[in-house]
Amino acid sequence: MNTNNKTQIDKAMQAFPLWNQLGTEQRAERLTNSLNTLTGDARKMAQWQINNALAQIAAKQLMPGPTGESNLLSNQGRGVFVSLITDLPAQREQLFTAVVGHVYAALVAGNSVIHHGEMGQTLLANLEAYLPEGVLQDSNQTEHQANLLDIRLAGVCALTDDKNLIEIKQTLANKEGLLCQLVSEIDFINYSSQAKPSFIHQFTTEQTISTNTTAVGGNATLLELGSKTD
Amino acid sequence: MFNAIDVLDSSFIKQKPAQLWELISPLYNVDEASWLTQLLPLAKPSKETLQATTDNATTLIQAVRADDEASSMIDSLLLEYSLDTKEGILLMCLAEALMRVPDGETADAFIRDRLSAADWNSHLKNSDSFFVNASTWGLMLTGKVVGMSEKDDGSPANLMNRLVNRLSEPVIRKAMYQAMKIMGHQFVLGRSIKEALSRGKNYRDKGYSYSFDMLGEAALTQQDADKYLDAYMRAIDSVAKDTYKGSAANPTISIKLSALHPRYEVAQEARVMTELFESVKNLIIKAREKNVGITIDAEEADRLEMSLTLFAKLYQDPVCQGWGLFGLVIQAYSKRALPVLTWLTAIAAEQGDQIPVRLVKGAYWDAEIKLCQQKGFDGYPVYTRKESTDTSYLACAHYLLSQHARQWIFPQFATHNAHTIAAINAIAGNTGASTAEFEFQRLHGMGDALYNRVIKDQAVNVRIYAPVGSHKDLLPYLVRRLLENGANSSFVHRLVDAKCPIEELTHHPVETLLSRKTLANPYIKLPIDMFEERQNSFSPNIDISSQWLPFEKDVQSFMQQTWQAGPLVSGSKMASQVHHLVRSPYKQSQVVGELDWADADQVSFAISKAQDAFPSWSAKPMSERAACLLKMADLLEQNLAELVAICHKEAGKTIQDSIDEVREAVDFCRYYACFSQDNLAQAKPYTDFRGNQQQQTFEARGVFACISPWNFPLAIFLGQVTAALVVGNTVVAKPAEQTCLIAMRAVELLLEAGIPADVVHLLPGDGATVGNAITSDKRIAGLAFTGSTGTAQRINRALAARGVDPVPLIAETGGQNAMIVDSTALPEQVVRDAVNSAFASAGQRCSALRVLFVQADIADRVITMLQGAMQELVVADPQFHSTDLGPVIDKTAQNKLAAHIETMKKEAKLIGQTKLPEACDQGTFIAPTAFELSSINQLGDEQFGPILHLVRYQASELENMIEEINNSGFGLTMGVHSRNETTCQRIAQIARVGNLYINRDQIGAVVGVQPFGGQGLSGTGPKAGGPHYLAAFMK
Repeated sequence: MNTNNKTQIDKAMQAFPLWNQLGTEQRAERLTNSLNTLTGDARKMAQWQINNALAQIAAKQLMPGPTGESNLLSNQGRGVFVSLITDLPAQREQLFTAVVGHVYAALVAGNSVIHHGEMGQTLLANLEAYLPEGVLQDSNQTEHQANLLDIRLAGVCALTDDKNLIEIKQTLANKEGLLCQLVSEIDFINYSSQAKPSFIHQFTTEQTISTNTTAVGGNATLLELGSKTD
Repeated sequence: MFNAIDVLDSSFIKQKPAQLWELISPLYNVDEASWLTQLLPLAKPSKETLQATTDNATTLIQAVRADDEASSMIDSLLLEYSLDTKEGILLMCLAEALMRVPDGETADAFIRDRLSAADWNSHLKNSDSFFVNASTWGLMLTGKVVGMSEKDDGSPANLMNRLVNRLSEPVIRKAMYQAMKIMGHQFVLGRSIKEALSRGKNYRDKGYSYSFDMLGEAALTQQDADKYLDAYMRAIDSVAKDTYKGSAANPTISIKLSALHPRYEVAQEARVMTELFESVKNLIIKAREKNVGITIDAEEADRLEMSLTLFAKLYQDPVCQGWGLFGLVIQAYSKRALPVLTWLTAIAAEQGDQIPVRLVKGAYWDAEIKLCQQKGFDGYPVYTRKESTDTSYLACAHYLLSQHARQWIFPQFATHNAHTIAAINAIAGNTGASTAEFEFQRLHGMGDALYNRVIKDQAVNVRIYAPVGSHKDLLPYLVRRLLENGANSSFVHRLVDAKCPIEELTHHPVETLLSRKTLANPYIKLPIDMFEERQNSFSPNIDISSQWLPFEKDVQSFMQQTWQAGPLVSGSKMASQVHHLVRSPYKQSQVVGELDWADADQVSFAISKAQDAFPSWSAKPMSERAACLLKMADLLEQNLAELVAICHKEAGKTIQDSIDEVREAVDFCRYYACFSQDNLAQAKPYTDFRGNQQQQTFEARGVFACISPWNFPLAIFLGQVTAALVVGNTVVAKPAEQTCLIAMRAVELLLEAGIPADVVHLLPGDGATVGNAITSDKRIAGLAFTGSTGTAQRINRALAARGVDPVPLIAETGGQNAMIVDSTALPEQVVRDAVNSAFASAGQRCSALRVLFVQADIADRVITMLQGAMQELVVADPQFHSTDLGPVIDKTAQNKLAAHIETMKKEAKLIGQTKLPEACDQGTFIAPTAFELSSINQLGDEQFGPILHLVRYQASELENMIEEINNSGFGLTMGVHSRNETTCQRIAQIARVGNLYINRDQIGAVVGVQPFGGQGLSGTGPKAGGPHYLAAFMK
């Protein structure tokens, strides 16, 4: 790992907590502001990922349970994602839409992203005005192998062929550290993986907060329930 | 169930006490409507009595309201700050915690947290009480100042405001402490009996008498119990020295048994009947010598039968015989109240000494309801309507005032309800009871005007139940009782509320109850029905004899049995070359069964079978597969006793842990069955990014591998397997080597539940043979794993090395779980939760607490309490009810943990270590041990056993400390104990953990309620028992 890679992951790690703590709505708002920098399918894809995140992961889910406690299930980002693309038999616009799908989904879910490849420069130029520093970084194509080996990496979204995808999987599996998510898309016509409501969950991790509300007077509410007339 | 009305027949109590005793336990959670139908005739007044009661109650209330000094300060406070307002709750929360916070920084933050959130202005001048208005002014002003620290949008305020705030904080803190002292003064009669007697003189002059109680938290340590015993002894001496010469009856003392023994629990009944018996007996000896009556307070429903047994033993002891001043409290909200009263009458008649009985309505209602819901009991021990409790109260009163009962029981009616007083008087009139044959009781500070009137109108004794002790200790306790019970429907509140029409306060409870559509409250569903879409799992209550004894007998019938397990492929047990005897971890000489391991060829054969079965299984409707899971859940409950026996013998689990294990498995089956049908059976329409309508379909993946751990050998095993099965996958399952017998039994039940034999295959064996054969097979379409992070990484490598398309790996792995405790927390609650989180199940839970971070300002107190609580733990054979911890799973685990303890003894400071009894030499036991560390960095790998580490921190270091915990990379569970909601919210925001538990223990996640799983190195997600889990088994 060279110093530059380490700096990039460090920077992404540093940016991640605050970005993640912003919450889905605020991240969606910032990313929505960037949409006018995109056109065509790429813009539609970005908008859809934002809307989908708002529908799928923004709300905290109140779980049913015994009285006197509250259980809330929420979604958070996983950490740092690497986005990469290799030579593929598809048009640039098609591939760019897929990159946008990956990057916007990863970002709106609360992750920070390092994109490898020249499209990263375009994306960064479009988005940097709306994002805190370090949340999105670009890198040149040749460096991704080193970043993939970082033990802190939470996931990779890859646009590549099957053979390369298996190699990436093996690279990720052979390192120590987190069990990395590997997200990919191979359909550059309909984007059948990315454009599914469940896609966003590959970029999220969940948190359950269980609070004993009896400690702060929650039981009074219960007594009232006991007195409720029918 | 007996006929309740029969208790009015004098021959009823001529039965032997032993016969009457048998009536008590079966009523523990009897069907509410059936039992109320029995009670109603006892409580129902005649037309004339009803009219007289209503008239008398009306007159009483009118007289009280006409009194200028009608409401005491506490009444007024509760009226103005009722607990259905945010301010009411915040004020009480402040009172509950502030006085115990030792450091200014945390106290200021806590005051800021509480006061800035309320609208004090709306309460200004609403009350006629000077005390309340003065408090409101203070609260409003302080609320305004502390509120300046933030702008409306939550952003930091400007420098000037922050400066004002900073300068004001010590002043505000001082004012708040003063306010709390005033409240303490109102709630507590005196800091000592001497002061209480002095302050109570005016009331005694009016004709009142007293029962004093040194209330407080239950004792967690022997040291605390000794302290309380000493306090009661001194109280008796002080009361005896009372020189009051008035005509009021002599004061008595009330004692709380849970304060006198660190383990006042049914599980420790043998100790209660010896050690606690001796303590109370010594109190009785002294009290009798000084002629100071003693009343035993009532506590939670689970302890009722034990408390009665103890009472009888004390009452029948020679030191008590012939005395007549040893009494107890009976709670009318308990379904068992009436038979308990008849049994007490019988033992009193047998001995010939009267028993004073305080009849109360009951103070733990909320906790009782919650406990039953959490534990899955088959009903409630208390009534679910207030009017049902009132009906029960009057039914019990009718019995107590009958000639044959009052001969042996001296009834003491504790109530603040004018209608109840009128009804009691009417019953007494009807039964011919004179006012000398019973008394009324009320709480200090409540219902003054009501009883001033009663005393004026009738020659009846009224006793005031008065808390005595330091305000710092008592205020939190009393406020918690108020928070738990003081809803706005309480009579105390409405009596002094001029806006409440008198007619609303004079409804007879029987009439109110009969006007309901149902006798039981439909808004409080039975524990088993608490989830809308599925049935809750069931548990017998092992603290109730009528449930425990038959269950214990059932379990014991399996304790001599042995079980066999081996590769089970397509429903047939296959021959094997590798044979093992399975031994109990708590007794190595005890053989539990025999086990054959699978070989690589059998693994391959099983995968082939599973693959062949996949097309037809996945093509079945979701409902058909889900029906198998629902049937499985029922079978698990039907086989509860056998499964508990296997959990004991093979995994070394305690009784409650074993029941909880089966319950979790049942919950997984029902939750996944219902969730899959409701959410995954049909394609879901959605609009794609180009605006086209699409259908999201859900398909099974193929052959799923499930590799499960030994610590939840049934629940996690079945959780993985049933999740994979219900969505249409076929399964090859490798249970942990240590716990294959129960896995075998589970698969047998799955087949009985209707899962086709080719669909699920059991492959016992070690990782090297069976595990590797599974993970290297290219036909595996997905894998669910629970175990160590290292093993998960090895599995991931093996799957990747196959060179085929990546498949999902759902991994649930380890943690280095922390609990953070600030100085607003209640130390007793912290220690109880920390001990449970760290040592329950011998610390062998993924969620178990490993590192307890305690704010330095309260660390010494917490450590002392922790040491005492650890001394009380019982490590022993897990099949005994008294056992808190069983063994660790095997010799390897024992050696690793023992080595860590030895290392820590050199590198850290030993806080405490529970003593192991000799019998533990027969198994693989590890003594619960706690160390103090200087930093979490002193720890390496997770130690999966009963070892707790404690680290002190400064309040200012909180965020850095959480950063340090986050940096470990693990993120499974975290506990927080703090009364400061801002602190809790901040920790929730920055802690990278999967499950965060606030003001409770951090173990025992419930399926569908607390989806469970970690972040980072602790797991991939999605969470087991959560709404996203099943989708991970599909594509």
